Amino acid sequence: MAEAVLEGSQPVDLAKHPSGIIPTLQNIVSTVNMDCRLELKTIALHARNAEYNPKRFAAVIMRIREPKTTALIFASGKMVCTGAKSEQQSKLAARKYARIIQKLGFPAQFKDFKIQNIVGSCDVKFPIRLEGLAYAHGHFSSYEPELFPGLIYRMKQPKIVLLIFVSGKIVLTGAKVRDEIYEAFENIYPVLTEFRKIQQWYVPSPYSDLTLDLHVAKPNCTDVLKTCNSGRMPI
Amino acid sequence: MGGAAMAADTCEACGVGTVVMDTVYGIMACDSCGRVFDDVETFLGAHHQAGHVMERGGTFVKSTDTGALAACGLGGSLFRTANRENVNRRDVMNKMKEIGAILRVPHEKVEDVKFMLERLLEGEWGQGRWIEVLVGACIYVAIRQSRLPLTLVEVASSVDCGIVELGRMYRRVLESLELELPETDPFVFMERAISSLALSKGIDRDLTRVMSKQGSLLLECSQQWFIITGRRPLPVVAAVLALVAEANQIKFDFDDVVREVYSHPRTSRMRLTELKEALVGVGQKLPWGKDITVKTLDKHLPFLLKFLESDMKRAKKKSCSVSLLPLPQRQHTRSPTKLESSYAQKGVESHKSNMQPSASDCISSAKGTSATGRQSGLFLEDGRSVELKLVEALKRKEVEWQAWPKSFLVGADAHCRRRGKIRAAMERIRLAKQGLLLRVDNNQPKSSLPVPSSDSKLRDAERSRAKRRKVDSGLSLQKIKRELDWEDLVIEYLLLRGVNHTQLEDGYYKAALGVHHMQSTDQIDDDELIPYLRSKAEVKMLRSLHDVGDANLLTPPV
Repeated sequence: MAEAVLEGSQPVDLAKHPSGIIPTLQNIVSTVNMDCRLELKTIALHARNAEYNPKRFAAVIMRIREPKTTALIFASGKMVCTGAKSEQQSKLAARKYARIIQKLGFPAQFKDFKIQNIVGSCDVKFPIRLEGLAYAHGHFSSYEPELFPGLIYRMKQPKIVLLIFVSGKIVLTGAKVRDEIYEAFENIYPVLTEFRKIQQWYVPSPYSDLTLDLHVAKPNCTDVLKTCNSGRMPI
Repeated sequence: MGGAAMAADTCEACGVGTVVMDTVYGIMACDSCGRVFDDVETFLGAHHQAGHVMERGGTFVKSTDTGALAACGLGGSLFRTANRENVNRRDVMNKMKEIGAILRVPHEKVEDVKFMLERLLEGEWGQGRWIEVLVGACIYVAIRQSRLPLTLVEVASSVDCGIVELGRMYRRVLESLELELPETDPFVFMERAISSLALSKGIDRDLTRVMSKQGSLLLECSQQWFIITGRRPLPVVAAVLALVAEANQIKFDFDDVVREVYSHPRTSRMRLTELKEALVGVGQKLPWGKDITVKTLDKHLPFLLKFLESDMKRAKKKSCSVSLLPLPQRQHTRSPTKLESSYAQKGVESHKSNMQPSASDCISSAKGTSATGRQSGLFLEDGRSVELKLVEALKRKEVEWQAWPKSFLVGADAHCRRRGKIRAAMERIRLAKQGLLLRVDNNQPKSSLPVPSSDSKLRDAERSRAKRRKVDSGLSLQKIKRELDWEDLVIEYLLLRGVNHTQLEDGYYKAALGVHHMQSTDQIDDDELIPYLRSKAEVKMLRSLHDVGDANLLTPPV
């Protein structure tokens, strides 16, 4: 059983993710309507996990630990839940907030739950020539190094905004469902490979040999780069 | 004031200037003699301010009687008589001329800015700080369209706003007007700085031209070496200028250079170091370049620049013959940004044939001959002229140096570190499992057969060996424990829950913890909500502490 856990890294479904990289979801923003007027001062007074400063912001900021999220609760009964790492977690967190509000004596309901935004990120593990990408995809991209170090790529279909950095790190935002994030990444990946400096040099599965040879030295970054520079890495 | 002044808009005191509303202080004053017509204060009260100095958006008073003045019940009538639109428009135009004069914007560009403003505002001329920021953004757009040297920093300093605020407005202008601007060309900034510094130092024109050429070359190289990619271009320009001056033995104060190009001194120094390191990297790949270090770079700099220039020319010639996509003329002549783009286009074409446009393509136009070149050792001879060295180096196509973005190297390093930690964690888990299995074996009932006495010595030896092994493993475990940090423990925890290694390597611990930490249950237990609720006694105490009726700040202790 333990072997299964250690080998645990599930293989990537190449049919769904031809690039072999799955973007990690970092944040889910959802909204829900509790369909009742709320007395924010009462909520702030009775809830331990709430803060309310009407001078600064006209909503109660409430936090829970499990799932670790933050909610903005407005007097109109509407709520914004942020910080969840999956859609289910976001919904569960929103339900928990609604239950807390109920416990405080308000007739809170759980209406119109909707995922508003999903943010994902990943690393393509090769440097990207942003100038070339900005030039070739000028209609979709905005690259202003004076303002922001990354290239902002506004994809039309799916309607996703990607922040592409020279280090190969990518942030994808603006999705309503996670498949949009995956689709956007799969769309952009071939474009990125056109503007990469070299072929990918990371070894795809460095753990596969662990059960055979347990005393493999820790891989050294400089060695990897040296190997990379000498052009000996497999393409 | 007012009534008379407002109606005629001409100052009663001097008879020349116009009485305008000062948006910062909310007073009426003459724009020529500066006389304040303080009747507005009498009408509106001393507390009134039409546009607050710290107010980002300003106060836009609409004809529909909304805004600060209308709130006092006076806005509508006051501004109707004052012909608000015209006053605001004139104000904006004056602002535009003022900022344009500071930034030395050409006259035809001022007309462009005027046109842009009219299209953007559609007759709704407002007041406040935002209009100045808008004027600044429009000026920047107009200047950028014609590739003149003007930076956002300069515009921001003359408009007296932050670069972020200006940048946000600039993006809005681009979106509204649906414009696509050419990318920032660092070369124009460098040329401007060189000419300005040359004037102050009295450098002759020929040398200025040489410097400009070398600077352009270094900018191209810095783009290929990822020194400028994803970074503000001006510090790189400052670094290039400093290097070029050094190569031509001109004494420039680095702070003067930095001031000239409006860059941050510390960042500029960092870029200078990076550029020097890159040049050393290139130099050391040359057969005679073993002694080229950052310290001795100034000696070798003229030669290196010459070498890079010649090599770049060859690379360009080659790329021109290879390139299939038609590109504008200027791209091949001076703009490094455009040149990069041409590489990118080439990259698109060459992707199919698996040829990547890289720094090495330009620094070294061919590969595979380095071994023979190094073996011959011809370049190690002393006393050879620079020209001869250059010709031979080019013949041999020797240099093959790869540059990497710093952020990428940092990322790669972090990856390697995390990979090591993952391996160690897996090893620890394996050891723990083995130990557990051994303990399970020991707990199992041993065979009841008596052990022959002849083997007692052997058993003792075995036992002592096992004891020693146990002590050793205890020590190693202690060592491991001592070296463990929070990251190791998190990795261990996540590995045991079958988290993807790639996710761990990327360092997305929080995301992984967020998904795997939770017990996957959709049921909400009321008991788990109790800690979030205050008891009656607590509420009572809080009520006594805060006068809840008036309290507007309720923040729980964290």
